Amino acid sequence: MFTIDIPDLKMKFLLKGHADRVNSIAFHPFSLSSIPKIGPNIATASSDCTVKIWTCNDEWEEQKCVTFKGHEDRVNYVDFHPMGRVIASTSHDKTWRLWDIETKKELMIQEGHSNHVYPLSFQDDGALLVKTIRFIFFTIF
Amino acid sequence: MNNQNQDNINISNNQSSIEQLRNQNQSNNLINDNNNLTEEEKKRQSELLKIYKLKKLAKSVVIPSNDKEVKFRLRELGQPICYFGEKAFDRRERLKKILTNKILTEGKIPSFSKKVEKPEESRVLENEIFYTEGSLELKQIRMQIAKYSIPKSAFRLAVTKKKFMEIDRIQESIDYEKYLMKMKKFEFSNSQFADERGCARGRISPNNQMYGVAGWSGICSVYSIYYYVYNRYS
Repeated sequence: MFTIDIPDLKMKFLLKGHADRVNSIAFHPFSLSSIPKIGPNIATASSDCTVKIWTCNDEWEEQKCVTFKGHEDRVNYVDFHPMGRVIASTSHDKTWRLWDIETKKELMIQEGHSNHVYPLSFQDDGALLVKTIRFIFFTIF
Repeated sequence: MNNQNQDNINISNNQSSIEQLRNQNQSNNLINDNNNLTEEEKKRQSELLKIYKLKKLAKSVVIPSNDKEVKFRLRELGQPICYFGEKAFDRRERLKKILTNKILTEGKIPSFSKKVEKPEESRVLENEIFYTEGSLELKQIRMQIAKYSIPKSAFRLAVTKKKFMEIDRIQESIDYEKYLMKMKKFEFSNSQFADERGCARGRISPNNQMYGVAGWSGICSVYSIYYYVYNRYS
């Protein structure tokens, strides 16, 4: 006896709204479980200098979104803090920013990088953040 | 016959032992000769050693790469700062030669009174850390993050410490190899077109039910990846 797992790759919904190519996507750490489907579930980063946060409701044809504007060049990467309240995004304008989901405001900018900032990642504890700049590695709180 | 043979052997043995003795004597003589020689030339040897040590010392002396400081040192030694057509590198080489000569004659490193300001200090000033004040919201959220992360990291530390104490190293390596063997069996299972242009990034949702793909066309698509399990009996 053996079992075979076959995933069905049915398309659930599309997230339409970005004007340029989308560079990154991230799920909320509690998405589809403790957060309602109408809440903030998915974050995307795009080349049109915006970060958007989307609802995740199968019944709607089109999903609602909140846009975060502020970056001056294309946004490379977006990730949720494991706590679920803050998101961080890196950009080609040599900065990375922290955003608050609840108040929909920009919390922090860090400037002064020598080059474009590429993927970043939070530590599981949520105290540290690693970001990769071209050819260099950085760690910060 | 046997007796004769034995006698022969005995004789040969005697001969060989005599030769050995002679050799020993010769070698002893040689050593004695050497000792005599060193006693005669002890002075010269010690002088040579001294010079060798001084040369080593001269090699270890740090010569500044800064042209200004080289000029200062030359001036202090009573040498011309600059010859006609001399460049910074030649000047430094000249300083090196003069210094080695001086060390060989005087037997110690000449001390320099003047010291030009180090360029490192100015660099440090440029790289000085400065703080910018953040907003009040940021402070609140940082407090939240601290409250969230400190107990979590403490828990993680405790768990890892306990694991570290309990773990059997051999068992661990065996488990790791088993895991690697498991990974070898993985195969490609499904593929699907997700976007008209390239797909930049895909993520699986934390509850393993959705898969989001970011596409370059500006449209993200989300797929369900419920696993239907088929049981087959054979």
